[in-house]
Amino acid sequence: MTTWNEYVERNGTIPEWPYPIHYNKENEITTDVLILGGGVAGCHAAISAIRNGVKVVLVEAGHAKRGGSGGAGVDHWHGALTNPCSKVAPEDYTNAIMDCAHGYSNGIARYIISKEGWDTLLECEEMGVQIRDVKDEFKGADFRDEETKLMFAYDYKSRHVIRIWGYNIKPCLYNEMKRLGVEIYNRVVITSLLTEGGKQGGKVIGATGVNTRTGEFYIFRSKATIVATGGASRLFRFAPELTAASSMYGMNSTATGHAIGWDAGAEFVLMDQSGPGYFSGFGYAPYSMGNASNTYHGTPIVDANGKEVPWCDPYGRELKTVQERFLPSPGQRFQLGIGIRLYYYLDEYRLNDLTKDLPERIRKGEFTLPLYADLTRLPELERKCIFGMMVGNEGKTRIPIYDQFTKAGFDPDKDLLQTPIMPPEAYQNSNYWDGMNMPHIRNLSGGGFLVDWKLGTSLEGLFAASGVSIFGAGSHGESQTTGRYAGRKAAVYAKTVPRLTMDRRQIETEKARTYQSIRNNKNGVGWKELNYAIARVMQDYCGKYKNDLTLYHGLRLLNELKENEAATAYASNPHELGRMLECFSLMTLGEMIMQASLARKCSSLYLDFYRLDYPEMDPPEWQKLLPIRLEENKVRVRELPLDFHLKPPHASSYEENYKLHAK
Amino acid sequence: MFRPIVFNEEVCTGCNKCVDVCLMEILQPNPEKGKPPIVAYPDECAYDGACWMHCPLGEKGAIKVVPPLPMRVSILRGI
Repeated sequence: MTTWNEYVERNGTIPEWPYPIHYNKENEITTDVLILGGGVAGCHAAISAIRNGVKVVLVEAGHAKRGGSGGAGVDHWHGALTNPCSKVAPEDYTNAIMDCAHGYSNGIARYIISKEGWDTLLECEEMGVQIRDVKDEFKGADFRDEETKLMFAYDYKSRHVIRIWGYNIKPCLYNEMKRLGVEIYNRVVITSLLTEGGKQGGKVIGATGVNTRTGEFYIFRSKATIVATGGASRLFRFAPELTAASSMYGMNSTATGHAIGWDAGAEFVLMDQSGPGYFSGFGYAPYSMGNASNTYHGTPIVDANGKEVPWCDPYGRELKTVQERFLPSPGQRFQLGIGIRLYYYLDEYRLNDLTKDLPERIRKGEFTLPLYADLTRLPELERKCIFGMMVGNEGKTRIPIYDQFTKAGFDPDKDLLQTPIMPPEAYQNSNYWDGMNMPHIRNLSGGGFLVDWKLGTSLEGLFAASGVSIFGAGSHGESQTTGRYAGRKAAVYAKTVPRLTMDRRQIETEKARTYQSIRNNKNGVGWKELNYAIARVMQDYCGKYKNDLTLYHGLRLLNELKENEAATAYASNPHELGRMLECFSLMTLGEMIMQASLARKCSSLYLDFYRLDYPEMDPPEWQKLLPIRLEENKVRVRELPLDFHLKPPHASSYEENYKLHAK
Repeated sequence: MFRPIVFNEEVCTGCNKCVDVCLMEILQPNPEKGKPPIVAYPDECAYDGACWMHCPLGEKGAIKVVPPLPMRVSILRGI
């Protein structure tokens, strides 16, 4: 027995909605620190804030136990620069990232992450996460340190990325939150920020939300608020039933924080960086097919005749041994690794990889498809680590990959794992399961809230955490680390400010907006159709190549959707209502990206941003940030130098700024 | 008709722990106590496996997470 239809068939009746519905019923919750988003960032922020002696409320759209992109697990942790085995200093790491990104990343967040990433991981260990090889399963491996029992990923010499058993990392955070007394509201989709006087640009004093089971309205009153709502995996496509589309990211994630922040008048940067088409969703589920990247870094790839594809260093030199794949080359200081939301690597910091001319060599007939991942050619401990420890702990791979493959009889000691069969050019990127990158199916990429050295946004009382809510910050480890930092900053702030009164008019306006689709005619479109229409507009009008006209058309169409189909869309129950509200956030997000794209009148290699009307690539006068925000509902753009965070009013070095603001 | 979540009625006791933890809120408790949950929105399943992870009888097959056939036709058909 499985689906709704089967229930109806069997019982002859439709199941009633299982929860009591009370649309419009208000629940008012008062707290010191309010955290929006119960992913790993939000949860660690909650723990950090409550340990600083304030009342904390956390709000999550799904369930905080497994919510967010990191909920299902994680196999390696970036940012552990201060771990006892690391050979890389935080400042060198930060500078390396900023150099690779040509300045288009977030030096503040990256430095905080590199200073506190290891400490944050140690706290996870205290909460019950296994971060070392305590069972000595990998004793003697070249990726393991004998004394600390830490295991490393990617660069076994520099040792700054740690392999962890993160399968249970989320429940550990959740249990700690409960133990400390964090008040958690699950199944609540946030719909707006509340501001002082109800004004756009005013101090943030709370938020509103709706419960996706009961339809009840929630009014949260807070002294400090942290946005930790993560990314938007449903902006350019959404079809999980066909392809587990974009299931790598949290599918609940629709960057609600970005949308409500925008409406409240907060400032954003790098929204024009809409990201190359990774995880376009028309490949395969993460790690489910043979590949040689990320979790599978170093994996031997062979063709149908067993001929191995060579590995090369970033300078094109062929590597002779397996060991070399995990070491920096002459000319490199250290390798950065994958999974830090960095889209462009300088050779100096790039990982070793399969030979870059593989597509050509397939075309020429040197390598015959299909290709296979041949783990049998790896040393035993590396093999056991990859298909075993890593795939057993990474998000969304334990059940659909590790468990099911093993039950089906896959034995990495004996068997090969076929890669997808694709056009030769698709083999350019060793992340084969992702399929062919589609230029028009993109991602919300490095764009997010502009933050200061306290991870405060441009709105007073509002902080940001997570690798995505903050611009240019990173992924899992980075989300937890920035969460922990923002949590303590928000707590300190909350202790110094009075509680302000809510603006009743703002709440009433928000309530009316929230429940519109429940009241509409049943003939209105459903949320999923709307989601896909938004995605269609984004694919066409905000794809890889843009010009002023296409962007104006895109904005016009999003606005027309907003005023027509979205205004009359119908939600038949609280679940659909929540999804509909998420679609409204997506429309706002699309608008933000298009507006930011209009503002940048040049093309940029580093932003993967191409203007057909301004084809000049990274001209010097355009190498800057373009913060955007709404002021009296009009878009305002200004300029910031790429190194603004090291210029007045900030101190001139990372360490100086950190010393001034971190504690 | 997609069936991302399959319950074994013989094993499942209807404890609804999976309903509690599902990120995408696609499961609903069965009106009949003790029966497996209803998969109300199969098309929204994110294939994360949280339901299986928290099922006290997951190892005994009370619940199974089944990736879409297009995802496994090449290498893992019969699961």
